[in-house]
Order: sequence, then structure tokens, then C-alpha cells
Amino acid sequence: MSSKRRTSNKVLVVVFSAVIIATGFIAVWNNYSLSVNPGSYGQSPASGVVSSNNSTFIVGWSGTSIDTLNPYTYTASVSDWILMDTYSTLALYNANGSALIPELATSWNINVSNGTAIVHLNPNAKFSNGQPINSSDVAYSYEMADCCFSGLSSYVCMITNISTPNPQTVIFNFTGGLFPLISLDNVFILPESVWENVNVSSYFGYNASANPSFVGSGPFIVSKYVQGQYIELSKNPYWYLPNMEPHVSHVIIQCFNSESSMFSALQSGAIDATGAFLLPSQIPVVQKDSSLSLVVSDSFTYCYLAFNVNPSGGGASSIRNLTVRQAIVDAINDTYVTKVAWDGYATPLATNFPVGDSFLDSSLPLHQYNVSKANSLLNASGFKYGSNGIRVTPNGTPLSYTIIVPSSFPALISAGTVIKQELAQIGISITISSITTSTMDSIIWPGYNQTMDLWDWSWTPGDPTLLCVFTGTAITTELSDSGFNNTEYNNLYSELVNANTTQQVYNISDQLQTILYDQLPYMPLYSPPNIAAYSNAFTNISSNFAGGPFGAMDWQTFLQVEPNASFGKTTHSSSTIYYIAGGVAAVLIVAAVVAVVMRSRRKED
Amino acid sequence: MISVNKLNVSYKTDSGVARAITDLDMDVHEGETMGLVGESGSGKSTLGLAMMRILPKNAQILSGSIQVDGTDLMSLSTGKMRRLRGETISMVFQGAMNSLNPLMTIERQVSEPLIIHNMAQGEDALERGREVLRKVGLKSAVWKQYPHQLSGGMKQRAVIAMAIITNPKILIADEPTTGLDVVTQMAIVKLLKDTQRERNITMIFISHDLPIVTKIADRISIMYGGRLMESGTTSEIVRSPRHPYTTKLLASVPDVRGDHLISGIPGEPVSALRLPAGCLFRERCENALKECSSYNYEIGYQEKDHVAFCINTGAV
Amino acid sequence: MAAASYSTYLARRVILTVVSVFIIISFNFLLFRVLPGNPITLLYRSPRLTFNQEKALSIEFGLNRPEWVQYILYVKNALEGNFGISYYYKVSVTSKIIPALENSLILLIPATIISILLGIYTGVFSAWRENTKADVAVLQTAMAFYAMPTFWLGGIFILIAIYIGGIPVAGEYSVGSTSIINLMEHMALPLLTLVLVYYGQFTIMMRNSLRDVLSEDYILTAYAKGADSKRILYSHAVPNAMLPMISLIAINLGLMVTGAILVETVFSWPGIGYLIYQSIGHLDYPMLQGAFIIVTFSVVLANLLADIIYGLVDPRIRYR
Repeated sequence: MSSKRRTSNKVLVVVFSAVIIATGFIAVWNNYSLSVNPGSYGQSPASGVVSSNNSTFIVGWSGTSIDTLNPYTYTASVSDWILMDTYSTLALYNANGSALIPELATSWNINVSNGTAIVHLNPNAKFSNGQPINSSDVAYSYEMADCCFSGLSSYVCMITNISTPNPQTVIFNFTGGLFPLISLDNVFILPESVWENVNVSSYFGYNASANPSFVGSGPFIVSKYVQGQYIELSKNPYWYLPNMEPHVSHVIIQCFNSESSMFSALQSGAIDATGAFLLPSQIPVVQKDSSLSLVVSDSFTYCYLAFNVNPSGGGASSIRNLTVRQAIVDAINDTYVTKVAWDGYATPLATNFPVGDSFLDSSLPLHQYNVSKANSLLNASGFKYGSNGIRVTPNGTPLSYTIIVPSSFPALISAGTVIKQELAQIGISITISSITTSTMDSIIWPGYNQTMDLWDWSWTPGDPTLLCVFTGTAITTELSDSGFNNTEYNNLYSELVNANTTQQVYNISDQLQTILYDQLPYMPLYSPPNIAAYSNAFTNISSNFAGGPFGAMDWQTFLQVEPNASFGKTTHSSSTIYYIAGGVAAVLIVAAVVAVVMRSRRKED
Repeated sequence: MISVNKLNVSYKTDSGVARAITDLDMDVHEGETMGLVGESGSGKSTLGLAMMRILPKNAQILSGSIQVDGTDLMSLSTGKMRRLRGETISMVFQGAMNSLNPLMTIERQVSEPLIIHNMAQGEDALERGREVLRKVGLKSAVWKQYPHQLSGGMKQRAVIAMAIITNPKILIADEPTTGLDVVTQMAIVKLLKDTQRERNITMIFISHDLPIVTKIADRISIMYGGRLMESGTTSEIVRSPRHPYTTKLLASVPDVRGDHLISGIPGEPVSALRLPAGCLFRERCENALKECSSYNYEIGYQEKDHVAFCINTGAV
Repeated sequence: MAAASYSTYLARRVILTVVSVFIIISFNFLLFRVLPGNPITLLYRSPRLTFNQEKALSIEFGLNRPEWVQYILYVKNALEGNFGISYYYKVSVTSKIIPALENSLILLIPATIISILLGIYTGVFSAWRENTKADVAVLQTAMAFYAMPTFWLGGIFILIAIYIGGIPVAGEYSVGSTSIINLMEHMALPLLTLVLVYYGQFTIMMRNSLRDVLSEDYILTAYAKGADSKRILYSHAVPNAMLPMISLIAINLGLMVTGAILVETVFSWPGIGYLIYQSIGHLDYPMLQGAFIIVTFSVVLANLLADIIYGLVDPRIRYR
């Protein structure tokens, strides 16, 4: 090609690029805004004016998605959350599970000595199709709850008879001790007229092609469900409790495939709140953004280090020695582990209940961190140091243990790493093995082949039956990962289940916790926080429930939330990013131009 | 018609610069066939590619000119050269190899030059293609077939058809008989001869096979190591070769009926990367003298058209 | 005779396909039972599950019967298109898979097609200008994008989108909307991410294939005919270079049904990739079996399709 053409091409490229870059910067300097005001984006078409008469609250959920809305077969916690607000139960627990609030039942009378409970129903109660809610519906719901496929059967198995003398009264006869008050909160009251026409074990609970598609008994009804994407709840026009009236007309729970995606949606204004799955690293981001508020709450979960104390189990046998466990517990600085695992937002625990649970025995102090005591315990019991700095048992087996951790719990893996370092100080060598929960499952049950594991338990607040995990029967039902089997404990636990008064339940549960504190099948570590954020376009969001307002436990959240009339729309102005974006665009355009120009310089000859 | 003057061509390779053609002079008269003979690496194929200006990217024409009808091909623009290529100057490649597009029918490929040079379009071009195919001896069954379905000889005919369809004035045939059996070779040679006579084509016939060349060429040029060794009429070269290399080449041809032993040429051909000083053939030559190492390629023997570049010519 | 050899070729391929499918179905069955753990206890890790309940669920899931009986039932059902009931969702597997598959395909069909076209174009561009700066630039850009982790690139786009505002960063639709415009807005970022990280493989294959073809003798012949660059490239070189690409394209089209798990996670796209990933965590055998049958069918069919196209396009295969 002639040199003239080459020069003219070069000039063309330079001029072109200069024009593009100049245009880009001029545009930026004139504050040409490309953005839509975040916060207004994503409101459902139903809402135009922000008022409590017609407003939608969108919350994101990144945990396991809705499996089914069938009250008897669901396992997902988000399903539970939806059921709580779309069906009535006889009563509802308050925030810390210490008291029951009437819902469908206006009052109840429980006589433990003769095993009868008389429940009076609200005469104004109606289903969302306008039909009244009667005692026959209650009886039906409880009977279905007792079926073999039902996940609620443990709540109702002690009921021997249900009778309905009149439409507003139900009489339960039960065996055993304290009437399972929990069933008052957990058995959802379904319309018999709908459910007797479906296959109860497989019915999804919502049928888009039926009319009506959903019949419920709660403050909301399910108005729309798009599989894997979102569910829409709308105000129940026949809701019968005026003191529990929702302040928004629609609630949408939108499913996300990852926490980061959910958080991005909040930042971009597509949703109004996130589920309680945020990480401590996202807290500063929320705090810097004036349009968002942060909610850090106690959870109904506790994390622990479990020891395999099953006498017929595998793993290292030295772990069955109580002294070894005591030494381990003394050498672990629980406060520090907690701080590392959750950046300081978790709460260290001394006992086997989530923090804030009413049954937590607060008189038990954290195990004291004392390395020298741990060392002297081991020295005194004949666990000498081996040649490589690891202690050995009297018959020469080194104290080398593997701790299995679920790979989906990064906080537990961090905790494990700290534990490993701390136990190295007393001559115990730890290997952390991060595996899937299903693999952990197969290692622990039924062979008990682990030595130690790190895991968590989530429990309904105010339910002492969590302690059944340490009973002997828990071994065969694959609930116990420690394989703890203590006769005194087992006997005490049956007493608890058969206790006659609430006070007795509390006393026994304290005794049980003390046994665990001394015998150490678990070392409780911490209660993780539930971190969530929401847009200031909404207000009146409380965080006194375990799990926080968006932890799928709080049935009050959707009743209390209301639009914030004084919230002004904010614009994101971040001119640095416009410069960068403009620059990147300019570079790309230049590259494209160059490519086009160079295209004409074909291979000749 | 064709006049090559002091042509120098080199290749850039990973192992260095290889000189493929050094100071080549060659004249081809209109309507005659010039046979270009040499071993592999002698530069003969390079000359063909250089004339068409389709040398590979790493080749460079250092100096010299190739005059066709008075025009120096080197001075033409790429566009002008492209118009000549395939229309005025055509090349016949070795058909037994992969010279045909495996995905195109024979008739399409053969008629393509017409379309390229705007001499015909569409069905008209295909018709003319079929005509040429018939001329070269390929029957209608072949026309819609694909290259892999044809034998070596048939492919060679197709390649020839492809080259002559535009009625070029010059035809460069690069190893057109290599890879074929002897009977087919003779048929191809006959075809080329007939075609040339019919259309008065000036032909350069490149081959390493001296006996074949003698059957078709009017004049022969012998190349070795990129240089011209000897050049003259066919009868002259065959009857009284002057260059020792030529003599050896002629003697290397095995005689089917005779019973004298096969003779060859000892040693290996020179490497284009490291050409020796003086006479390139010196190391393998029986007639080599001390002065050969400082030989500067002056003409050693000249008698009318017959030239030889050697200082120790004479019958061996 | 030519036609006969093509149809025998075709028939052989089809039979092989059927055999492959059967082997795949069987292997599929074993595959998930090898995963450690028990699906029932995994799903119901809570004291609410009594021993009797576990028994009942086990019967419902069919896990109480001997393995070979389960296998026979499974094959029989699979052939009828019945993949059973999901352990986790308690509804039929097909009713979960089909919507998820649709969602994935909405994203992946345009993404794959654009990647293929972009890859082929850049590959041709690069090979034609071999060893020039343009070639290096285009190739290195393609490789750079190919090397980028999908989730990282997606994350960067999300960050930029949040700052600029107005571009949706999650989900397939805005809540409540079903308009095409809305869908396309939501598709923009995932599509961009997918195209950028995918196209490089086509670039490099096309470039290599075309480079090889350009060094062939018939290209020299085309030059000798006086053809211009355009004709040499598009009539002679590219058609020959495309032959190896057919397999690659077919496989990629076949693999579209696996969804794009990373993009689906980062952008919350409700596709089949995410569904499969979740089902693995739940040890939801029926769902996994159903999904994998669909995937393997798809790939095997794509292979068959590639064979068919090859036969049509390459005369060397058609006429033996």
C-alpha cells in the first residue's frame, strides 16, 4: 500500500478517537445523567402512588426456595414464613416464645390432670372465600396433622381425641404431661371443604387454575406464584382480626439464587428488603448508603463443636475420655472464635440453646479459656508429648483428630481454623475436612465414624424439645451427632416431656443443660447473627424476633411494615464512576474503529 | 516473450535466510515450451511462483525483473497483476496432490476463472467449463463429481482444464506429471502438447524428471541450488551436454532394457541456507578443479543458444 | 450407489445413538446413588421426623425396595417420560424441569448463537491477518475474556449497573411484569456476560482451522486463478474451515440444556443449571435423574445432528 494511504489512515484514526473522547468528556461534564432514580425502580405495576391503601413490599430470599405450600409436607423455612401469614393457627408465640397470643382461638383452658384442653374460637373468623371457620375445620386440620406423611405429627401425637360440641368450641383429650402448647402455634387451620377434595399428601396448597386459587385463613392470601421466581401475597379481604391489620396491600417474596445477587437487587432498588443472609462484609456498604437501613438480630440457631462420645462408634477413641474433652474446651477461646467467625457480630454461647431463647440457662458461664489448665490436665492424665510436638495417649496413639465441617458454612470453617491453631498449643493436631452436608450425613450415621464435627442446629424459639438431641433415642433417629447416651439425662428428659407445669419444664431443662455442660458431648460455640437490610422507603420494621424481621420466623413483619411517607427519593451521584465509564466506552469505541480501519489493510498479493 | 533478468529470490526461515534463486537469466520465445529441470530445492518451483507473484509471505524478490511482452511483472500493481493471473498467465499445479477444493464440484471449480475474470457468468460459465473438460478428456460423468472421487490422472486433467479455460498466453506447468503412473504421464504430456499447439501457448514446463521434459520441451534450462547450470535446445542438451551436472542427470536415468548399473550423483544437494562460495556443484563434481572454488559464474561455454556455466566443460 | 451409502451411514449413526441412550439411562441411575448420604434424613433433619414417618417416606420414595427393582421401575418410567416425583418439591419432576429449561433456553439460545457468530467472525478476522498486530489483538482479547471467571465478570457488570442505575441486575422479569421489553432488559447483562466468556473458544478453533486451510494447496490454486481476497476467503477457505467447527457448534448447542449455573447464580436467573445444583444439595434423585437424562439426550442428539450435517456438507463422507 502506498505510504500516502497509510498516513491518511493514521490521521483518520487519530481524529476519530479525539472526537469520541472529547464527546465523552463533554457529556460527562454536562452531567448528562444516564440513571434512573433507584428506589422507584421495581415497584410492581399495582402501585403508583405510595400510600398504605395500595403498596407493595418486596423482600428478597436467597435461602432454599419454596418447596411446597402444603402445611404438612413443607421443609423450607420460607414456606413456613408464608404459611404463618396465610393461615391462622389457634394461637401465636410472641417474640421470645414466652407467651402465646390468641389468633383463631380467643381463649383456652388446659387441665393437665385430666388431660383435657378446651379451646374457644373467634366467632367472626372467616376463610378468605368468605366461609366461616368452624371447629370442624380445626378438628380436620389436627387430624390431618397426625397422618404419617405429615411433618407436624410430633406436635399432635399426644392428642387422643378431638370433639367439637359446637362450631365455636373444640375439646382435645391428651395423654402425657403438659399439653403441647406448641401445637397451638404450629398447626395451620385449613378449610376442610377445599382439602377434602384433594390428595392431601401431594397437594401444593395453591392451584393457579382453580377459582379461587388459594383459600386461607390468615391476614394475607397467596395471590400469585411464579415457580422459582416469586410469590405474591395480597391482603385477605375477609381477615377477621382488626388489631392485626396489615399496612401494605401486597407482599412479594422474590427468590434469588445467591446472596450477592439479592444484595445487588436491593442496591439497585429492585427489592425493598433482603432475607437475613447478609455477611458482615456487606454491613459497611449498607451503612454508607443513606437510603438503606441495617438490621442485625439474634438468630434461632446455634453453632457447636461436637465430640463423638458414642462408645460403639468409630473415630479416635481418646476423644471419649472426658479429660481430653475438658482440656480441649479449656484451650478454645470461645470469645475469640466467635469474633473471627462473624466479625464480632455473633454471640458466644455457654450452653446448647440459641441466644435469646427463653430456655437458655443464663447462669451457666462461658467455659473459661485457660491454656495452662488444659495443659496440666493432659499432663496429669499421662498424655505425654510425642516426638513431633503432638501428644500421645499412654499406649502411643497420637492426639490427631479430624474435624468435619460443612463446606457451605464459611463461618464454621473459619472457626475451625482458629480451633486448629488453639489446640496446637496444647499438643493436639487438628485436620479440618470441609465436605458437603450429605457426605457428613453419611459419615456420622449410622456408623459414627467421625471424631469431631462442626455444625449448627436451628430451633423454634421457646421449644425445649431441642434437648432431645442428646437423648439415647436420638442416636437411632439420626438426630444426635455426638452419640451421647446418659441414663440420668434420658430419665430427666422423659420427665420434662411429661412435666405438668411450665416451671417444672424450665427447672428440668436447666438440669439437663448442666449435665451437658459437665459431660461435654458438645462445646457450644456461638449464635450467629441474622443480618438483613431494607430500604428506608418503608418503616416500622422491628427486630425483636429471633432471626430478625426477615429470618422467616417473624410473623409480625408483614403486618407491621408500612410505607415511609417522609422518604425522599435519592439520586446516586458518583461522578468518578461516570468518568471511568466514559473512559471505558471511549476505549472500546476506539478499538472498534481501529479494527475497522485495519481491516482494509488486507493481505495483498 | 518471457525474459527473466538477474532474478534473485530468498526465503526467510526460522533457521535463517535461504537463497532460492540467484542471478537467474532465462528467455522463453513465444509459442515454445521451456523445460525447467532440477532436483528438489533447485528453485524451479520458486521461479514459477515468482512469475505469478504468488510467492509465500516469507519470500522476497531481492532484485531482477521478469519481463512479459515487454512489461516488467514486478512493476505492476497488485490489482493489475491479479487481472493477469489466471487470465493471461495460468499455472497448472500437481493434480495428484491437494490442488482442488474438496467441497466444490469439478465443473464449478474449472469454470471459476471465467467468473473471476468476468468472462462469463452462471450457467454460461458452467457450459464453457464442461466444454473444456470434454476437451481434456473428462466425460460428463465426472463433471458433477468431487475431487476425491477422481483418480490422479483425472485430477491432473481437471487442473489443466482449469488453467486453459481462459485461453491464457502463458502456461506454467509445475510438476504436472509427478505422482502419476507412467502411462498416465505420457497421456498428460500429450494433452499439454496438443493444447499448446492448438492455442499457441508459451509454456514453461517445470519438472525434476528430465526424460519427460525432453519429450515435451523445445528448450531446456537446468537449475541447481538456485542457479542456472546449463541451457539450450533439447537436442543439444541431450546429445552434447556441457555441464557435468547435466551429464550426471542424463546418466542417472535407469534403462529398463539395458543392463548397466544405476548410477547416481554422490552427495546431497546444497542447502539454500548455506550456499558455498564458487561453483555450487563443486563438492559433488568429478571434474572439479581448484579454480572452481573461486568461480564467479561467468559463462563457461557458449555456442548459439547453448550456454553452460562451468570452467571445465567438455564431454565426460 | 451414493445415496445408499449415505443412508447406511445414517442408519448406523441412529442405531449407535439408541444404544448410547440406553447405556446412559442405566449409568444415570447408578450415578446418583453413589453420592454419599441418605436423602430422607438429609431433608428432614429435625426431631419432627419420627421413625414411622421416615419409614413412610422411604416407601413413598421407593427407597425401601431392592436396588434392581428400583432400576427396572426407573427404566420403565423413563421410557414413558415419567421421571417421578421430586423428593424436595413433592411435585412431578417434569413440571419443575420444563419451566426451568425454558428459562435457561431463553437466555442460552441467543447467547450461544451470538457467541458462535462472533467467534467465527473474529476467528476468520484473526486467521486472515495471521501474525499481524490485529491478529494478536483480537486473539488476546478473546482469550482474555475466555479466561475471566464468569461470576467475576458478571459481578463487575452488576457493580457498574448499580452505579449507573436503570439496568436490572437480577431475575428474569421485574416482579409482576411479563413484557418482552422487561425480559430483554433483564437479559442484557447475563447475555453480555455469557457471550463474552463463551466466544473465545470459537475464535480459537476457527482461527486454527482456517490457518490450516489457508496453507492448503487448493488455496494456492485459487490465488493462481486470480481470485481476490474476498473470493479466496469466503468461497474456498471458510467453507473448508467450517467443517471441524460443526462438531463444536453441535456440542455447544446440545449443552445449552445444562443451563449456565454460574450466570444463573450471579444474576438469579431461574434456570435449569441452578435447579440441578440445588437438587444435588438435596440429594433429590428423581430430579437429578430427570435433568441428566434430558442433558444427555440433548448432547447425543446434537452429536447425531452433527453427523447428519457433516454427511450433507462434506462430499467426502457422502460419497464413499
